[in-house]
Amino acid sequence: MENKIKEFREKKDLSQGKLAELCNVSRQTINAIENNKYDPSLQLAFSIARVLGVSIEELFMFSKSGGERDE
Amino acid sequence: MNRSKKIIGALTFVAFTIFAGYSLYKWFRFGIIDGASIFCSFLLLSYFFNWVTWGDHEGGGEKDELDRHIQTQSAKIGYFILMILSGFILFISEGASNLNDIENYPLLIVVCLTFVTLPITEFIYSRKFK
Repeated sequence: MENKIKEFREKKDLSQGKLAELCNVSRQTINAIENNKYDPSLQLAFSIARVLGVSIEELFMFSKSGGERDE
Repeated sequence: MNRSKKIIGALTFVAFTIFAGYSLYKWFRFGIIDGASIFCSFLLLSYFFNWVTWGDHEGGGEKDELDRHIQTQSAKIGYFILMILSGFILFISEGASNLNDIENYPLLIVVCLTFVTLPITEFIYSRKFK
């Protein structure tokens, strides 16, 4: 899964740390998602979208190659 | 990682080195294998890696979903590494390549249990969703 978190985050003038704090996760988690190393859970994806004020569809794009998620 | 955490990590590693060194010294110098020192060495090594990774010697503390993902994946990988290592230890300690020549049955059973533990656990856990 690809995403536009960085783009929307910068539009909102939020740092990775601030976004992480607002979503109750660590900065490393936001960094891993932004760099497509990890696909977030549905709950976290909704949380990030809500904080950035966009819809899930705008934020995440399906692609076969993507981050890890197989729990 | 702040300064105090680095110091605690370094101290844990030093303690591990002392215990492991003492075990090896007794083994090579006197031919004595000290079970307590080996046990403590491995315990300290686990404390060291837990401390470096999670900032907690038992691997506890608050975790977010990426941390839990890391734990889950590491558990799966660790299981297979343990399976291979236990097989290696069995064949090295017994010095036998034929399964029928092995005399250490408890260790053989442990190796065999590593083959079935995961499938059985998966079978039982999958019942929860059916």
